[in-house]
Amino acid sequence: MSGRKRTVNIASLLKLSLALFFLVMMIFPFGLVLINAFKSRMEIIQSPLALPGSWSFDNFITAWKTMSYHVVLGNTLYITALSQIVLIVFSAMFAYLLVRWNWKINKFIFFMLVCAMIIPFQSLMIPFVSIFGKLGMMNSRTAMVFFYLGFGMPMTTFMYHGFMKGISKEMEEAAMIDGCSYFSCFWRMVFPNLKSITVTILIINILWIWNDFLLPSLVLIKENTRTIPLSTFYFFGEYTAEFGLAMAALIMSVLPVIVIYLFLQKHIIAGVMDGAIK
Amino acid sequence: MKKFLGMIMLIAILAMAVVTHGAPKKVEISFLVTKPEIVTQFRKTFDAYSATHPNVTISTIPLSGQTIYEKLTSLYASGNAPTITMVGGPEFTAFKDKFLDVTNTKFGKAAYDWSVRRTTMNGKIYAVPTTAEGIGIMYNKTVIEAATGKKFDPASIKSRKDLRELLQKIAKTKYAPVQLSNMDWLLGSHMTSILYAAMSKDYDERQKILLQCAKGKFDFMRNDTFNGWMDTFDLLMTYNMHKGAPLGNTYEDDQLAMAKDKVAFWVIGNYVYPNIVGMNPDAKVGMMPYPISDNQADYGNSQITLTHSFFAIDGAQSSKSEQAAAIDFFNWLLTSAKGQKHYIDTLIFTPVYKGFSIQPSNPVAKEIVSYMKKGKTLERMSDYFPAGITVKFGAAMQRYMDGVGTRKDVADSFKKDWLEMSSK
Amino acid sequence: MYEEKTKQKSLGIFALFGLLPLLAFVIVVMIPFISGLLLSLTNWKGVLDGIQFIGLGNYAAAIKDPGFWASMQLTVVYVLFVTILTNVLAFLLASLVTSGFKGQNLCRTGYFTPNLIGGVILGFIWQFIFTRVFVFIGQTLDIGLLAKNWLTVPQTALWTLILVSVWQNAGYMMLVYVAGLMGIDKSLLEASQIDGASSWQRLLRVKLPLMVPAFTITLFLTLRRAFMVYDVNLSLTKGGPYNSTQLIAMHVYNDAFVNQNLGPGQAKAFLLFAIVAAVAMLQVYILKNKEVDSL
Repeated sequence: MSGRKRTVNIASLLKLSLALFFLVMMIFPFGLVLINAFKSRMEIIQSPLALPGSWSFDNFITAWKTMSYHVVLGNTLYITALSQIVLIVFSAMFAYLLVRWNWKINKFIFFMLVCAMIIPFQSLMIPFVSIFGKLGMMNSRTAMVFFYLGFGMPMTTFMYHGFMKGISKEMEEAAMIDGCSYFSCFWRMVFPNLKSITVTILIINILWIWNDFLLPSLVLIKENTRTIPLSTFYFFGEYTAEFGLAMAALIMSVLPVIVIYLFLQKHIIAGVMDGAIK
Repeated sequence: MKKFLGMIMLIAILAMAVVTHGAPKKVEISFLVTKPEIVTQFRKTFDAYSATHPNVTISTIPLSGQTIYEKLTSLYASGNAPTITMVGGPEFTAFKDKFLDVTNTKFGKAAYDWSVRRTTMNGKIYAVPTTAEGIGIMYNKTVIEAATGKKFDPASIKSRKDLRELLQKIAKTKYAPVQLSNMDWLLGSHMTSILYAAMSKDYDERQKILLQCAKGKFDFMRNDTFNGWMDTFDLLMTYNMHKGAPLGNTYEDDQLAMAKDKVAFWVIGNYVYPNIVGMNPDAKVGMMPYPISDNQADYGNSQITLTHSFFAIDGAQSSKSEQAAAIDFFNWLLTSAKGQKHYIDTLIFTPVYKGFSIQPSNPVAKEIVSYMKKGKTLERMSDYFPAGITVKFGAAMQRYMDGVGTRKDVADSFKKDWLEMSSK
Repeated sequence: MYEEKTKQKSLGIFALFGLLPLLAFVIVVMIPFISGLLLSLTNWKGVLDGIQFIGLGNYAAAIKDPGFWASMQLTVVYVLFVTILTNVLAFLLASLVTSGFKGQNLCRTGYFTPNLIGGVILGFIWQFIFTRVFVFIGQTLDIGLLAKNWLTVPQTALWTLILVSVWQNAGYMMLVYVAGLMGIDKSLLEASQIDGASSWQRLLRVKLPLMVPAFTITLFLTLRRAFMVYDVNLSLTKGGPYNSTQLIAMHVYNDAFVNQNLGPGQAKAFLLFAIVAAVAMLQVYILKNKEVDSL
């Protein structure tokens, strides 16, 4: 008996050390960003690994001013939040349609969605800007939400599609006999069962839209409409980079995401965890 | 639906007209900053301009990691062309039809004739130079004097022979004689500019050579200038402090080594001077020509290569008032006392314009200006290259530095690259 | 599967569940995509006026371009290693953070951080690691393999790209695996435990078959990301030393936007699209057939 206990202990010790090893491997570049955000350009070039001489927030203040951080943060939040809502709502419903009805057109649509995820963005970039430029949709933050629905829907639907297949129909069918419509059935029975993948999709999409720069750089040309990634490019030149400022800007741009992530983890993942493997 | 939208637009425009009637016209112009490293300086300059011209605001569009060509293509396609942009030679060729003719503007007339040759078509000027940048060899006075124990005058290096003798002396001391950078823009664009410019004194002759190159008919191996240019490169490679791993050093390393007085010579341009002084305020560095031969009388040995990008104003999608505002801004920047002060002190530029009341105070820019005044400058030939070829030139030079290519390989790939990139 | 009695009803359902996303998709993606396809059949140079239809000329030129295929070859090697290594590591990480130890949530957040750092900065950090840290370690401990800067040697430069890509993508794919593992019905696992299955058997017989939807997604995403990689390529090696690590996306991009050959670049982009679509379709098709339908 005691022998078995020991192997369990050794196994869990092994597991812990493995987890810790990977944690260090994954986090250390971020640690480098953190310590270099407090250094001058000179200090960074001389010794990127060393701790900063003084913990001054000068870089952060300069970066804040240069970026007009308060403006771009608002824009980024607005675009990201709205995009998430429309993406989750419409893609989940769309996936339901593709999974639960066996029409020929659904097979074709699914095929199209998978294809669409592979389109190199650069190949449709110029036509995209000419079309929407003529329609006067440039410099509009709300138009961005619509664009993100178009570009993000295929992948979000694809992910829901895989996970929705595994949900049993019994509950739904029972509810339908009681006169529940497809629509309310979906939201009451199916969607709550998709919590774990919804959280994953949320995190992935938030990060994508939050850090995306190509699409906003094409659409949001006026200064007051720009998002965070666009403004961080003020710190990179082809021949010189303001590394200290760039690092500070980077920290400021990912901080909100980390906060959101931790919030999600606390409130949503906890709920999902009840159904997880113990 | 369309009609309905049209109506709404019409009403909106009428309302705007009513509201703005009588008030001074507000103009907003945009500026595509293709040198992100000086965007802050530009913003300061714009603020200074707006302080005296309250009805004009100038906003900046960052390049956000794209190429100038890509950015301009997408901006023009979406109908959002920047009012002002900074372009190099290849982009100028691609968008020249979109740019405004500035021949008869005050600032257009102030530009030196030789500096707008590249951007003149049918006798009309479509873009003006930004700032003069000299490319050649940067020398570190402190290091050279410590190594030789004698005063150093850059004018004493009149040919490759003089440089070789000095390098031999320095190599015997604890100082490194040379460092070579490996960035492809330096090797493929700035350095090759020297090569093609030194081939002939005569503008038309140089253009002829480029035409021959484009047809794949130019024999580099039999060209004295090419061989001389390579001989100097060989000499520098022999004394390169990174000889063991010539592709391992970064641009930052190189700046630091120069600023910290560790190395005597470095092939680079004076655009790096602000960085050097930022690292070491007491740095005593300067620019001298990249010698092509042992004979001091040969063209190229006493000339420094000038490079600059261009300011262009959009003439296709900007309104008349926006264009007028852009012209007025450049008149202010390049011909008024206040603007010139910002040009020199805020942007740290070196004027390529007549009638500047003030001149740069930093020693390296002064050197460049004196070369310009004496007419000892070489044209920036990379402005005439086909797009994308500098990347290929850079790759060929990197191979050579790394020891996986011979001189003949460099000549062959130059020939091949010209043919391939010109035929597209 | 649900059946509707009338066409009208079917249409109603289709409109309710699919109309808006489909509309957005067609307007935002399909129309520009088709326009782009048409542009690849012209001698387009960046300005839309005065372009001429030249048929398949751009495609013929692209297929004849040895540079395109050299990049493609390199990319296939890269994709192969990145796909395998990323998914093995991601599955391992996902198993770790769902195995129920203290601090697993911290680890889950930690493993995901590489995705918080984008393109340029990421390249800078890793450049520094390869240029200074590794070289320093290699020289002090006299490990020949590490003593030379990996980024400056063509043979090792590709490996730096693979390494960094795996490092960056593993945490991302881990999230999908975590969702898959958490979605497994506990009662099934308990039942198999009562039947006396070892933990190895449970992994092979119960977990893996139920995880197929997750595999469909992760494999597809990894394939797509690896084939389309551009950011890391640009910021880490710029395709160097001397173009030896120019992956396909960078090759296409440079042809279009550095060499200013928009038409041919456009044709190459669609060729790339066709090749990747074929590979990914095959993968999705195979795995979709393996997905366990609900009972």
